[in-house]
Amino acid sequence: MIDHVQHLNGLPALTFPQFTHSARLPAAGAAAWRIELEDRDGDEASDVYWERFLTAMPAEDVRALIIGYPWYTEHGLGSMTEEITEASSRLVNLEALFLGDIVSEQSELSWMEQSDVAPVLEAYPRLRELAVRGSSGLAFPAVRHEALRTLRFECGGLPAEVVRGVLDSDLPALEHLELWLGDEYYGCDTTLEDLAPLLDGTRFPALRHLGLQNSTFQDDIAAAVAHAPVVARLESLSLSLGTLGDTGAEALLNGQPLTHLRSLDLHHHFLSDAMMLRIWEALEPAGVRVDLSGREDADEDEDDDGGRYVAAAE
Amino acid sequence: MTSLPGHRTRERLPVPHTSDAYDPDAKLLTSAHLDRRAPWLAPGEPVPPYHLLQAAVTTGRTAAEVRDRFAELGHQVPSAEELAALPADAMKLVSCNLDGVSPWMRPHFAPRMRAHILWAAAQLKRSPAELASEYAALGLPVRDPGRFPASVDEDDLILVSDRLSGEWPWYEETDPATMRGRILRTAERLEVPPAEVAARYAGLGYRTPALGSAPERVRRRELRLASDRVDGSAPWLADDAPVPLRQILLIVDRTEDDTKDLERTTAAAVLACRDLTALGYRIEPGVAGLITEDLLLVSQEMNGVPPWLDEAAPVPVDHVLRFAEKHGRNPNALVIRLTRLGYREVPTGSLADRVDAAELSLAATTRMDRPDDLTQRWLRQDDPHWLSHVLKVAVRTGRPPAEVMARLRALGFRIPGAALPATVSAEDVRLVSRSLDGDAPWLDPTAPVSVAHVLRAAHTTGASVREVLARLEELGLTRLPAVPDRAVTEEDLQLVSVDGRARTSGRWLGSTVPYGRVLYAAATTGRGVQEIADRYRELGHTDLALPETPLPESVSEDDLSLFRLGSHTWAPDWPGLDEEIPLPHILLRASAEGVAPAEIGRRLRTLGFRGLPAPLPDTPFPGDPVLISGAQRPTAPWLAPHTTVSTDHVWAAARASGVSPYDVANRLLALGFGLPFTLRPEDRLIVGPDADGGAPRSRYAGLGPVLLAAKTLGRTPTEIATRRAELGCAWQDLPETAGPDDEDILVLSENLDSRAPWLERNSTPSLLHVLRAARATGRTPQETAGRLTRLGHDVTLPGPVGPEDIPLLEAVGRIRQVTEVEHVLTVASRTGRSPAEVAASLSALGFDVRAAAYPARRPAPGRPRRP
Repeated sequence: MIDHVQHLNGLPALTFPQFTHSARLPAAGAAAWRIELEDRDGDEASDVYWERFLTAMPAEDVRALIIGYPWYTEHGLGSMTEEITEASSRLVNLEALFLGDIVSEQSELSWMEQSDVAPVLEAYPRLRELAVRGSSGLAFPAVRHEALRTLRFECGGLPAEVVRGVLDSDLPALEHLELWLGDEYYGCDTTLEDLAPLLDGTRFPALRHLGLQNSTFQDDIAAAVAHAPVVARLESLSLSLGTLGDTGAEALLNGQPLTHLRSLDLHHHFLSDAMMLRIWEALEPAGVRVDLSGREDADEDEDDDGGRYVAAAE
Repeated sequence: MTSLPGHRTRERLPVPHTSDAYDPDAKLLTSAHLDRRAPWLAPGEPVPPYHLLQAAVTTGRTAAEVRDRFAELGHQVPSAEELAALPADAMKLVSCNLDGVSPWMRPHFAPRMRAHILWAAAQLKRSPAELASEYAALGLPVRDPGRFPASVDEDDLILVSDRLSGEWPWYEETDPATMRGRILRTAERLEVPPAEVAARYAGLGYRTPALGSAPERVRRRELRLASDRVDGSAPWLADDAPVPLRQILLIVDRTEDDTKDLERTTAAAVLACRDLTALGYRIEPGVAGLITEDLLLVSQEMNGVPPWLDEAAPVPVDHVLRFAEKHGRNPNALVIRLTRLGYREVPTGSLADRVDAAELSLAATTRMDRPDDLTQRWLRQDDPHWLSHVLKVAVRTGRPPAEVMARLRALGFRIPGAALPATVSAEDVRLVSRSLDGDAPWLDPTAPVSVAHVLRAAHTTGASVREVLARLEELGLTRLPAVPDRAVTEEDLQLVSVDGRARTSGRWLGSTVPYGRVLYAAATTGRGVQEIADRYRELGHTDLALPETPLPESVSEDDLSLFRLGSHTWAPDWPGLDEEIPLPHILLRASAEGVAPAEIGRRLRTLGFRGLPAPLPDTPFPGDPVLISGAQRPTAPWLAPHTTVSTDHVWAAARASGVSPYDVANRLLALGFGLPFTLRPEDRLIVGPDADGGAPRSRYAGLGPVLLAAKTLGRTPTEIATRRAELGCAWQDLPETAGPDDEDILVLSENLDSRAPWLERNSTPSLLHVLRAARATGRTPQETAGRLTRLGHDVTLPGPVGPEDIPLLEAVGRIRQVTEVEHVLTVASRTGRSPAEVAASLSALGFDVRAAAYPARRPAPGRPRRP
């Protein structure tokens, strides 16, 4: 389900090579640089590798950075917040940051170690995009950041504390918000009540895309979204990756009109064929691109949630 | 794509013989495995008849035609008469399955040849003896050709099959000494007496042992006794030497429940010896008569349980003395007993007849800070560090060194006859320890004492240099440096340390001052090289070589990295003037600085170093360390200099460094390595994906790069495919029909641009590719499908199809077979068609579309993003 980041801030991801490498590297600003070591004997020391990145590249030209293994893993180096924060005087034009580009072969999502990301936002006032993968140890106290346009949390269980911190933050430029809520078993204690300030449209005046995804109560979210004031000013909406079934989809069809949207992302869902056809017929002829791919079958051996499951949990 | 600067192709190392690099026929014939790649038949050696016949079948020619062709290529060949004299069914014999086609018999089948011949004889209803002669005449290795029977039964095949199944794989004749175990195994499986089995093996020509008084029936226990791992299966014990005591004890350990009961263990060991003897194995007399005390004697902890003394290693004299003291035995008698138990490296000479605890304690080596702890380690019989031991014991016991030495000699230790002072102190012990702390490591009384040691001793003890030298001489250290009496300074100590850190260094210069250390001192002190060298000489260093060329006036800190060896800057090693600077070091430096290896070499030569590897390329390539690493990363293990690297290494290094295998091969030649093929300039185009020198993604590319290179170089596809195979690419079968033409190359390219990526070999192209190719060439889909089929791809069109289906198939993407409702809706959204239209079209294209009431309305166009 979760792959390595391929693009960030419109730039292709490229791993900064260990040691000295023969490959000619593109310009510092032409790629989203993945900082990642392998898990082999003879790997370059992590601090040496990081310092070499900062000196080998014109650090002031780096626009996007992706931090991967062994940072953010349980038995690895943990968070890299401190190093990134310290490098802010060198990475003066950093626009996008992805913290924790880890895939399951390296660490399960729920085993990843995150940290308080507020210092990063404070250190990089020009940052336009921040993505965070993993939620163990994650903190997001309320902040003010005038430049941030995209904020994404990819995790298997998003704590309500983080959601409240985001919604209490002052992010006047925020256009794109994705929250992967996840499973209670993996740390999600967020409720619909926690999301109320978001749904009532009082937060984030520039918001155009909202993703409330990967949730075990995706039907309830759909029902709430069907009447949420925030939807009227969105261009796109994602209710993907979760346990959405016919009940939630029915609520969407019976709620406020969605035909003003450019796209509705429902991929990874549990809809019946008949419901998919109804959704398509209601929205596509009106010009809304609906992603209905990734239909899942409920696991009949599981009682929880009727055997439905989110796309990313453990 | 990174390409390397060109280098002159070198042919310095042995290369395969070929008359023409582009002669596919010659390549095929002269490859030892008929696969167009190394190893090659040696041109000076006769072509074995079996190879000639196999080559004839492979190329579809007669043996005589192939013989003539080999002669043309300069090989020695059998005469026409010799060829005519080959067996009538020789073609069958040279094939593994007697069917005259590949897989072929090869020389390395030798260990299984007897079994194979017996099987072949049974299949062909021929005499094994006759067949053995024929196989030998074909040039295949046959051991003991005179020992084959005149006939063979089908039942015999059970005996010669490895798993006693009567089928391949066949039993390998490896070590004849292990045949006894094989016989026992067969006897147990077939439930017949081992003597009968041995007779049958002997009748088949195997060399069999006498079975002595082996039992009529072999049971599980006998098999376990005869097996090396005591598990009843191969490998089997060799019977050409006595079964060692270690094996007997292993048998007991693996077959007895309670090995702590020494009486039972002893009885079990004696029983194992008796049973092994009955099976025909030899047992040392002492082992056969094992007694309980022997178990105590041969156990390392003298407790009768493992770990045991290793029969292949020397028995420490202290073990004998301690056992003697503990059990009141005569050490000399114990040595004899150990010899009878199979221990060959035992203490020599005469030992004391009896040992008491007080005497024994003289042989215990203690630490200065734990003088009462006698369990640390023991003096060895010929211990080179006897001096420090004697001094420590003398200090510990208060006895004169001469008395300690005499008593140790009486115990059996060989202590040289040196004259030591009548009284010694702990200070003396410290003086002879390299770290000046009274503990190991110790000065070697026969080796030169270093200047560093003398200076440090004087500095540490507060004594003068003269006093230190005098005391060392009194202690028997005669090879002393001529260090002038002086007040030792911190700077002196810095000079004689390896890393220049006088206070914290753990490494000190020996008698020789490497030239690199002189330069290091010059760089870090800012003094001239000659001045530093003079300083060393003033300190008493005489073994210090300087270059005959003018010395560098100064050495900068930047220069240090050029000659500072060792894996860490904090633990440097300094090379001597003529010591070869390792190639990996030079390449790592060149890579780090972005300069040519030759530039590093020039700078080292300017500094005076003479031991430089050759050749060193004049052009930079930062990936050099990866190319010479066995791990394909810039770390050890490194390839040994001047060795011939394998084709696999070339490809692995190319993949790791992102350049073409041609560039890697060329660079390795420039670095002095050899290749298993002769590199030619046009190989740069041949091996790449687009005939332009680029790096291929894999060595398993399809036909596309072959045809493109053929067109570019004006060669035939066969010539190119042959050359690519020799360079390490996977062999590519070629279409039999005429061609190729530009359209072939076009349709083989995935993006229909006559460039990589190419369709994979023998793959099934997608319908979308066929339609796109048809559109690109102006042909019908049917014509295009036919062309792709001719080029080796499997193409079947579902029915009437045309370019109008391309948008639909593009939208389908990777969906191949089952088409669910979600897929139909997705494709409809992507193509602007109604789901009903999509379902109908996909069905017509052969997709299995799920039935549903698909909407007939089309999606409206998407709207643009808000500014």
